[in-house]
Amino acid sequence: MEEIVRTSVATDSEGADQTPGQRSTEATADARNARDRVLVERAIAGDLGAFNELVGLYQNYLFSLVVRVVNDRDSAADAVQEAFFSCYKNIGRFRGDSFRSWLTRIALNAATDILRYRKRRPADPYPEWDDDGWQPPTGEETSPEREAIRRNTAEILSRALAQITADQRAAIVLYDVEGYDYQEIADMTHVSLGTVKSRIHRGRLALRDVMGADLELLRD
Amino acid sequence: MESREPLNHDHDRHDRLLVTRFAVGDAYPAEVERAKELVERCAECAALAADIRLIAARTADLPVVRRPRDFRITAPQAEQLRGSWLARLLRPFSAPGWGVARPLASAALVVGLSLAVIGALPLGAASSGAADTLTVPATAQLAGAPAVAPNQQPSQVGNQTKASPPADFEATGGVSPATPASAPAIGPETAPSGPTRPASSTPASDSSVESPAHVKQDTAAPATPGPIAAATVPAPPLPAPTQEIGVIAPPAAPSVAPQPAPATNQQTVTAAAAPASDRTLLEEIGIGLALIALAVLLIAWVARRRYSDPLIR
Repeated sequence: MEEIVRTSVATDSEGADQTPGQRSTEATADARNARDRVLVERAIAGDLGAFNELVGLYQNYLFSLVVRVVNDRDSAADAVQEAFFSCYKNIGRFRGDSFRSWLTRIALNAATDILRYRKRRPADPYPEWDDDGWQPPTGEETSPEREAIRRNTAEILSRALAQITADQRAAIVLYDVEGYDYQEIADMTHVSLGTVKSRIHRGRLALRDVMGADLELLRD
Repeated sequence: MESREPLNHDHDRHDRLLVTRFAVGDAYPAEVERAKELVERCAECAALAADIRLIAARTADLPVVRRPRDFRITAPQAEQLRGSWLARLLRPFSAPGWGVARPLASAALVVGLSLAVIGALPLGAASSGAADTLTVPATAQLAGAPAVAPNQQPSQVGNQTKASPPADFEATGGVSPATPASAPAIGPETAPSGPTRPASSTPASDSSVESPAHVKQDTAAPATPGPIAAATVPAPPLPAPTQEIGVIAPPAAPSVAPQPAPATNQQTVTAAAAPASDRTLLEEIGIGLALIALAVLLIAWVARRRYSDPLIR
């Protein structure tokens, strides 16, 4: 159990490092893919520990992505869990270079299913800031005042993101937050490149319209 | 000279999406100039471009959302997810890539069934029946079988029996030449019951045992070989079926006739066996193909129904 906790902390920190809007370089992506391939091969051979290492590497990233798409922590957690279950069952089918992209596609499918399910019954669109579990990452260089501003900005943006369409939201989160390029997003969401661009641009335009006067609070 | 007046009064008609694309460097080369002009001359477009850049930058800085629980899989969960041996066996068949197999298997099923039906159709039996008749006339013609007597089986003979009666038949005064002498000589072995052969369908086998005159008569007056034979030759009693062939043989070569007759019969039997075996082979291939296709369809259907994963798409 202790080992699991230690691993979790280590991988959590790695996941946290990967997530916030850093467009990974090609070299780091290759290294990551190589590491993932080794773990995937071990998992295919029946090594549950190897698969759980993959889970540890990507669970923060995946939850962070899905919760922004579905706007509900509980639903996001369910979707992520389902995504990992599905990934485990079908890991033998994994083809391609990027396990991260494959996993993201599965999680987005789960998120899409949840959105479809909830379409007739809108949920609380602002769950994140009602939940104490949601915390922005803290760094040594951040002062409490700076942190408060940052949190406020995140709230405004999250509120606005919740009000645009799910397709636009997913595209913006994948592009701006997770750092995928247009083609990767097109592959993940099963749409054309032009559709991805259109969703991102129209989504940003919609965000501006939704935020209105709050937009001033985003400026330094 | 180009006017550089502000365009603020006309902002509602400006392409906001173009400005949005231009703000993040995604404008197409052909529209960059137009976008640049809008941003430079319209204050609201300029503000829009600035806001879009700000939104993109702030969105990228969104903090990580902490997960509520650990998503790692326990050993019992893993065991349950792996499923039974049957599930592990069939799960690959539920992959989206196997979607191609279904139309292919359906096509194979159609082809297989078609082959099986074609193999079993009366069309195939007709060729077999024609092959059977190859033996019948050879013996019947030789022996003057009563089964082909025009006054007994006109319907079996077909339309050709309704043609003008043969000259030999008329020459005998319309009396059936199926004399008692020739009838018993047929025997059960040499005159099997069956459909009569149209004379034009087996000229080669006839010519091998008949004289040219008989061939001519046979062609002109089909399906009455018995009477023809009886009318041409005065039907001497023949002790054995093999010698009946000698009756039809031209008198010029009586010693040769008995020998080719069995050979001719043998050839006709061989010729009859070939289409029958082809037909059987066709039918078996069709049934086999259909069964394989059916099995593939069944496996794909079961795998898709029970083991397909909606998240893998």
